[in-house]
Amino acid sequence: MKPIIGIIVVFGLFTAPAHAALDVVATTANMGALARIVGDEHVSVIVLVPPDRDAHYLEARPSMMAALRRADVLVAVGAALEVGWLPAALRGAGNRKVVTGSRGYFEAAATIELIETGEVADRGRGDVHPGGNPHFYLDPVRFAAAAVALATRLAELDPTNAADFHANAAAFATKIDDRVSTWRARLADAPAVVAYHKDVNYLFDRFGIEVVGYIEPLPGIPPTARHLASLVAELRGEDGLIVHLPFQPANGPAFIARELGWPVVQQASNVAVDGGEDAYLALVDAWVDALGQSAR
Amino acid sequence: MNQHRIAFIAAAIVAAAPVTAQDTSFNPAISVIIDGAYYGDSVDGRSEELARELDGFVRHHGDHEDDHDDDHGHAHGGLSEGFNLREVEIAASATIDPYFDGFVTLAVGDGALEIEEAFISTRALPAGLQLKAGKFLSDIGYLNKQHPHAWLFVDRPLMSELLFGDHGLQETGMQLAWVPPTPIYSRVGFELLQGDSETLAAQIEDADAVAGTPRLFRDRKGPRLVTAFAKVAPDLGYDHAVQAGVFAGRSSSYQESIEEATHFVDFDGEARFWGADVVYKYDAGDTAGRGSLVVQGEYARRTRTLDTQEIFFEADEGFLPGEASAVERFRETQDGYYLQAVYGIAPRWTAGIRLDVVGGVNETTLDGGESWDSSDRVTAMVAWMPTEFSRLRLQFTRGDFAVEDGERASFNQFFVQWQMSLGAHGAHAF
Repeated sequence: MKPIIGIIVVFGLFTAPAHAALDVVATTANMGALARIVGDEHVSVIVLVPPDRDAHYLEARPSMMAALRRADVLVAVGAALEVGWLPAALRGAGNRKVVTGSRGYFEAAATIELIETGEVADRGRGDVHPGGNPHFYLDPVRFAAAAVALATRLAELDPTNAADFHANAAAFATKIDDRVSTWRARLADAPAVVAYHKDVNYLFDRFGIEVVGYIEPLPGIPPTARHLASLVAELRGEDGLIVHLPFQPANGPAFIARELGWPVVQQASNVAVDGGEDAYLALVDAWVDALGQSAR
Repeated sequence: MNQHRIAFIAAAIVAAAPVTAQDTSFNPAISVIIDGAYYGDSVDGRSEELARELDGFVRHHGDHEDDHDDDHGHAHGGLSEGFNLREVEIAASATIDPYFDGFVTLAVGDGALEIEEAFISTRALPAGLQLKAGKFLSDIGYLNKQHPHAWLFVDRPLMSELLFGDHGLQETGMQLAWVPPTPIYSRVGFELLQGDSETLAAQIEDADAVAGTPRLFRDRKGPRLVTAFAKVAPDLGYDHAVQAGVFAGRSSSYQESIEEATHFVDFDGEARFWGADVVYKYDAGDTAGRGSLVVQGEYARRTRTLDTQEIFFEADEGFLPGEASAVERFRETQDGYYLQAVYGIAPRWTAGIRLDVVGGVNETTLDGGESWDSSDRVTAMVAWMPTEFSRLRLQFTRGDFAVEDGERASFNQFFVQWQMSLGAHGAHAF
């Protein structure tokens, strides 16, 4: 009997709240930043996907399940971005507080308006997301809207700090509002882009940057020589930029750059795992710099 | 005919199901997996039969008459030389209501429709508890609960097939599992199962008395099989993951009968097993799996403690019809393990090697005791995954089996496998 009591005591220590903060699990580092912006000192955040990984193609890992088991809130991007691993991680965690449909399950993409919705659900067209493009997080305006929505959710879960959550989200929305016109001005003459995947489209869309092609022939399908050659043929003589994320192979972009004489922008789509408000603003600044300064 | 109709219905289900990425429709997520293979071996297509004749794992008949072999000659799930449609797997899953998730997996193969899994699991129990009920693949070990399309090789390891059955340990019953709220992931659980597995809990139904003499078989009600498992996985950061597990189980009833020319040889008793499993994964974070590594291994040992007697329906060996030999109690123990590694040799390409040994411990105390040699297989494979929904795999296997009481049989096997996933495809567990 004694060992059993010992075990219960040990688990009791683990479960005892060390602080009153909400335990937040964020799928991506940007969602971690969102949670920190809204929750500030009232949340402690664990990020499941580091910024150098593609959140499409992960595997559910035991460490994710351990984090989810102890979570009060799950902040996910949503719109099927994490569909390949999050459901399995949630099943392995067995935490009713964060299962889909619970108050602790927050999908940011469900709180904002998505672009590229209503695509035909046909995998012959690649890895399409009929519900809309999930990569909303590089649009600072939508990101701020998601912060406001998250504040409402966190306020339900932790009413004592509700005023702080609302105030933090509002303050962040104001900061974004203040910067948008500057960002827009700096990108006014930004050239058209060839992007690797549709994962920066919200930023392009927000600031009126035209996407003239993709390195991938179809979403999720690796570039082929034929596709790249046709891109080159189509775009020869025009000016533009090539954009890809660090985890996307550089050889396709490099080929187009060589053929067309276009600069290549390689830029992360997520903040560092411990990033918060400053890191997010710096991330958008970095994108604006990279896209704007390359303008000829 | 039947098979065609089922395949047609399956196709119709897929066509009719509106595929939405957001899982907001009330239709279950439905996926169909087509698993086909081109197969050849060096022993006229008989290598899968050899796996069912291993010394110690199959009781050799007293007299070797060829017609006996026909009883189990067509190996379940075995491949013929040439083209094979291994199986079509139809899986549907949905959240039933705020309290339950439901999963159904049907397998169509060999002209038969089989329920592989049909279970519900809870989503609202407190304290990290989860209850599962229905027919499901047991959580013992690592590979046991994986469906064939999740395997890293074409076939299951010998250990899994010979100790737990063609489908692994697949039973009807319930499971209670607990994930404690610790920083280190662990999961413990037990299963209460009906006990109908061919290698652990086989049942002889309605065995007729012989000339008025009752048979050896004791009637034991279900559930007859209990298992327990524990897994632990320390947090090694974003790049590395390791999980180790132990498991054990006991079947309160195992029955077997062999019909010889003049008598039955009956067996009745219990079976126990235990084992351990470990898996390590490295995620290189490179393009489409390049540089990533999965190493896994499992060990299991099974002991059956059985009573046996011969009961005669024709006079022979000094026995009259209806007479039976004295009951002899004996114990037999077999074990097995596999060790495999699969590496991402290029984006979308993996290569792997597997070592497969059964019967390292392979002994019985029957008739004064006997032990047999082990059997082994070495397998190499290369797989190409154009997308996460399609896979082509090339596999070569060299087997060296102990058969026929001390003889050895060697063979080569060659597989070209294609596995395609239609429709929604659920997330795979670790």
